[in-house]
Amino acid sequence: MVNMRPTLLSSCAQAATAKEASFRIDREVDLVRATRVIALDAGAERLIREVAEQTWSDARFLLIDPDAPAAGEGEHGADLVLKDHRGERTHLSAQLEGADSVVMVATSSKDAAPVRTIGEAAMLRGIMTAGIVFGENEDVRDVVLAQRPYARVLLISREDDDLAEVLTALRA
Amino acid sequence: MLKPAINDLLTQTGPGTPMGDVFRRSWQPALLASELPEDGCPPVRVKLLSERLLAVRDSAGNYGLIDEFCAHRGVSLWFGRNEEEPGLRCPYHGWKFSVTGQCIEVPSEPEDSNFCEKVTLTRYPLVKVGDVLWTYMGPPELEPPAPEWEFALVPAEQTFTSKRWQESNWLQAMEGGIDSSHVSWLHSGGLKSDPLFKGTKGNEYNMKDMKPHFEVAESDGGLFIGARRNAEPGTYYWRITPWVLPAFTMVPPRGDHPVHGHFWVPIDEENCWAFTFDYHPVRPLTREERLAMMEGHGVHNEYEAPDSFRPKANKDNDYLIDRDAQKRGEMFSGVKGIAIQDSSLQESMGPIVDRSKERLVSTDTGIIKARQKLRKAAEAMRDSGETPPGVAPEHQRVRSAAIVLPVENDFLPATREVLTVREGVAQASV
Repeated sequence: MVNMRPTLLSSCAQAATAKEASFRIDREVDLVRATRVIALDAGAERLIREVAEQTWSDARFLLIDPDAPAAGEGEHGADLVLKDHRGERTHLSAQLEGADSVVMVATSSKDAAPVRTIGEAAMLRGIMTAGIVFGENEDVRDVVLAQRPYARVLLISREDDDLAEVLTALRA
Repeated sequence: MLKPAINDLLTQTGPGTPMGDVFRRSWQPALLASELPEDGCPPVRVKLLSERLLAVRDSAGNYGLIDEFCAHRGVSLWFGRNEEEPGLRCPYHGWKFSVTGQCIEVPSEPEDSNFCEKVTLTRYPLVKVGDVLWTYMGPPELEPPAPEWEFALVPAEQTFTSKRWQESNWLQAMEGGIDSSHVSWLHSGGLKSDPLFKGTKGNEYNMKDMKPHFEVAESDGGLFIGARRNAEPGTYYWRITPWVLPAFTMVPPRGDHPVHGHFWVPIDEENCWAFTFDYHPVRPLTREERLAMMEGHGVHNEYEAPDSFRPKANKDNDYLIDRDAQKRGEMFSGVKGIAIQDSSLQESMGPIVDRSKERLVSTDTGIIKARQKLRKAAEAMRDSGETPPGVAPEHQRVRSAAIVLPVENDFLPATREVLTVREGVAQASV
């Protein structure tokens, strides 16, 4: 026998209608996710340069600087010299100040070495880490393996617009 | 976060809508075969993709899905007489229609009149594959081969399907099917006690690691979403969920329990059917398993009344929420059963949730990616007539899997074989 209950104003039957949905508080969502997008290789650099041209709330697009001197150890472990997509040098530690999430982008396994430094730096600071790897199978195997301990989510992608799609959905 | 225009594109499925057209390009479950149990049985009202239809099995055993309303004066043919000489006769003025929608008799016309030949009702094919009657509502010239989902092709004693009316748009229901991150919370109670889940090694891995990592990979038909947990040293426990466009999802298996999954079929924009199947690829379901499914265990549900597909726990009774059980942690939300735990929350969003107000996180990447693929499929079909993923039979030959792999293995290359239907081979499951 179904346990019938009186339908009250706060009961599900009343509360879940389309009419009641129209009374949801309609306040602008002001959440902005401070996101640092780091390209791990040349292919990824090309992708993030394109995405960086779009309008973002608080997304910064960063590249590994192969010519930079070693950054050494900081208060939070190993650091890394990066450059932003305009070529300005910066440090990983500085970029992680106030960041909510880090997205590592790769298109091959050639330059997987910095993953550990980035992943550990984010982990030490309690920053959510995600990875987007463009390509499949052997071409990207090592970079997937390198990211796996750190990335809470890894997207193995076939489509170039995935980075912009994910950043938009996350309000970066 | 999704822009309102994209939300509309994905949630509107009536005639002439891009997303509705995606559904119309593949075979969809229309009703359970048991709803038309014998030749000449009463017809059944079916609403699909915002069209009111009538499922008919005539006295010669032919199936058809026709416009519910008589071409003459618009009365519902549900009141019709399914006659011994095959055909459905409108009880108002006696017009008679075959299951093809063709009018075959207009009694008021002269005997040698051919007027009835000019009268047809909209008609869609209806075929029985497994426990389900399937329909194809797209252009006749593009009708694909019959469905090849494994649960529908295994022998009858190996499979069981139920259906449940969900009072929400199809998309928020389907998104629950690929949202692996809610399982450790909302459904945590069922792993210990449900007869269709309990007692497996995989459950121990589940409960020991409540913060899984996720990997999302594309397939030709949609996505594979892998949830990864620590297992023994040097290994990960992977639970892999396939999604095939537009609305097929499978749950990763547990031990030798039957494998389950869903189709989320729009009734209209504020309601959908959850067709829920359970099957075992290589053995008959046991009497106890079948009974448990009929009693609403696993991913099935109890019903409000014997002939109803509305769940017993529904929004009229606040889903029979048990606040004491919630407090004890016996049922995380206080709502009993996997299916109703999901539907209670998905219906609470309102009939069509406003996705522009969401605050998604990285672990929602599977949902983000699925929405993108749906949008692209709808746009590509609308703009260039491209066949959407999921229509090709090879896209339908997928399985879920639950498997322990060495940490150095990528989940997709290592599991590609077990994620594909292999006749006579059991599911990959721990």
